[in-house]
Amino acid sequence: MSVDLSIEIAGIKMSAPVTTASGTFASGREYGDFIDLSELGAITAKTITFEPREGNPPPRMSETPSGMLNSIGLQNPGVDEFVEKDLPFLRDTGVPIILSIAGTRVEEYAILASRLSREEGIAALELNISCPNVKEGGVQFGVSSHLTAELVEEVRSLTDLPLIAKLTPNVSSITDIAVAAVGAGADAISLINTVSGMAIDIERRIPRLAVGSGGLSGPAIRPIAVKMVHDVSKAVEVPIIGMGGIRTGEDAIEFILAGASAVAVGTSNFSDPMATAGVVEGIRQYCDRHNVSKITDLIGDLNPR
Amino acid sequence: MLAGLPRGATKGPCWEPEFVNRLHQVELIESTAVTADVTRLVFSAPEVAKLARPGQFLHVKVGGEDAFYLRRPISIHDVIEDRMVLLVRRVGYGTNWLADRPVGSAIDLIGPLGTGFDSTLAGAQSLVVGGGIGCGPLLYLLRSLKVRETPGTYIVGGRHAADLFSIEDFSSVAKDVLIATDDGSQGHKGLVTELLASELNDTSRKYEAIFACGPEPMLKAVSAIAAEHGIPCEVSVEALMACGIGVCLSCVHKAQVDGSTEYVRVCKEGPVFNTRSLVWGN
Ligand SMILES: Cc1cc2nc3c(=O)[nH]c(=O)nc-3n(C[C@H](O)[C@H](O)[C@H](O)COP(=O)(O)OP(=O)(O)OC[C@H]3O[C@@H](n4cnc5c(N)ncnc54)[C@H](O)[C@@H]3O)c2cc1C
Ligand SMILES: Cc1cc2nc3c(=O)[nH]c(=O)nc-3n(C[C@H](O)[C@H](O)[C@H](O)COP(=O)(O)O)c2cc1C
Ligand code: FES
Repeated sequence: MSVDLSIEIAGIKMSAPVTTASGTFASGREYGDFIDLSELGAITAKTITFEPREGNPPPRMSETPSGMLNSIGLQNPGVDEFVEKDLPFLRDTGVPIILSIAGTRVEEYAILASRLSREEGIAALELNISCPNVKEGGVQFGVSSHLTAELVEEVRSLTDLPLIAKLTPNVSSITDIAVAAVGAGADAISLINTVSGMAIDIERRIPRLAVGSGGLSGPAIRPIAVKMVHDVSKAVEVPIIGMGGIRTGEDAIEFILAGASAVAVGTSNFSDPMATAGVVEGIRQYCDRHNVSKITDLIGDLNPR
Repeated sequence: MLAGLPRGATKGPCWEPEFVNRLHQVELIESTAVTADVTRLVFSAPEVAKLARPGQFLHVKVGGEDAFYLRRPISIHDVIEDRMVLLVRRVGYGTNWLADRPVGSAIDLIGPLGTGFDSTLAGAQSLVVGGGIGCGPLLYLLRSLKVRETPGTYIVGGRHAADLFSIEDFSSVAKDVLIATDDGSQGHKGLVTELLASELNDTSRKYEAIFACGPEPMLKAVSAIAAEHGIPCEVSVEALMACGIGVCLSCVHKAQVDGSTEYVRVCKEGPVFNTRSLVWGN
């Protein structure tokens, strides 16, 4: 029996329920040396901003138990260079392309969304709302329901592209944020972004990251992510892209059973450059083993205890 | 910015444009402790050996199938026919795991990665400066300089004589070997950079290039000395890496690119940089 892994999320037709986590796959060129990119359901590119961003000073990375902290600081060449140099490559992969955008004010997201709406070959926009809002004194958009709603609503009014709101877990109620995003017009939700964290070099008595703290990712955060996906899937009707520490097909199935329609693979790419392809294959094998004919049958199919 | 960078201003002439990153399974065929904390590992690795250039590194998987660890960057110490040699200094979990592998183990690695040293810079006389485990990539560099019939002079520093390693190997490929130790237990008592400066002040020799690898303060000092003497200088820098292949932007170092200062990737645009383009400090 050959299982049907295809899924449609907010109009994005994915051949498999697997994409890449923004910022962990660049624009796919490097990992294209290791895997066949066309086997992915979609590619989510690294977050871009309107102007180029230099990023944070190094060290920007510190390994922690089963994961890593990063403080890259959204280093990117800005939208114009991205459109010129990376978008053509992404388009040529033939898989749906999700572009992640961020800004420090609503107008920046708005201008990016209008700019990108004029380009061919973009399947959806992902709003990285874990970005400090300069107008609100550096508070992240994604920690406030009303800022999230305001942002999504503004972008919604400027583009016909499907919108995915990517949520930060560093909030007291992620379901409130999800409900606000969907209410304002988000077509899908992705979660989770990195978990706020810190590590200290006790010999030198200094923080390991130059900017003091950063975002935790990798298998260490998986149970947090699974619970948040589960809770959000109960609170909203739109499809969910789940991520956080996924290494294998089994890990992905856990998210799908929790309520995700698709998953994204992030930090695992760094230790296993074939991780994304391995997750697709692992999902297929699980389905074969459990006589699942359509992956959509598994979404949220969790038995009560 | 990143995508617009020239693909490695320091690249040697043997760069292969169609080079593809590959995963390799290589077999450990020899493991020897060369000092209390440095282990020499020899792998049978025909494909990697064929591609490897001096100054490049490998991104090595550590810690078995079940464990989740990031890969560890390790320089290519030497290439002998289809064998590849690494020197590993035990500093933490990953390096201990590697150094403890029994002969016969299969190791999973990506590479060779990054830019190498540009041995065409060397001219007739060059200085190759190493400190601590930073000596690693310099053996293969010296070997390639010798093959080009422009053998380099090797200057090496360590805390004491017991920290120096593979001196016989270096002697077999270098024109000359000069040693400095902090405690004077072997060679010059003092810093490797003092030896470098006095060598350059000797006007009877005309050095045309300096290559260095070691701790950042040493590289910074070497780079200042090279600038003072107006000699081209390449250094291999270290950075904490996650992906190792240019994706994650963890490993950046400040550098001059087209007249402006920006963060470039040590794993991709480096680890070897011409000091003309490097900017020290954050
Ligand atoms: C391009 C490059 C080439 C290298 N070549 C060699 C080599 O030939 N031989 C060798 O023994 N080592 C080499 N290193 C350093 C080596 O990668 C680190 O020592 C190793 O990753 C530490 O892993 P660990 O698990 O043993 O230590 P951890 O437990 O991760 O850390 C122990 C200590 O080492 C430091 N450290 C961790 N990772 C690095 C790193 N990537 N670079 C520098 N310090 C680090 C940590 O800050 C900490 O203080 C190289 C590094 C780079 C970037
Ligand atoms: C090095 C690194 C860079 C990241 N950059 C971004 C980014 O630019 N935009 C974004 O939305 N998320 C970014 N993330 C977060 C990931 O997309 C993902 O949400 C998170 O890492 C959890 O998934 P994982 O555990 O599989 O990595 C980054 C994560 C890492 C490790
Ligand atoms: S380690 Fe990821 S870009 Fe260099």
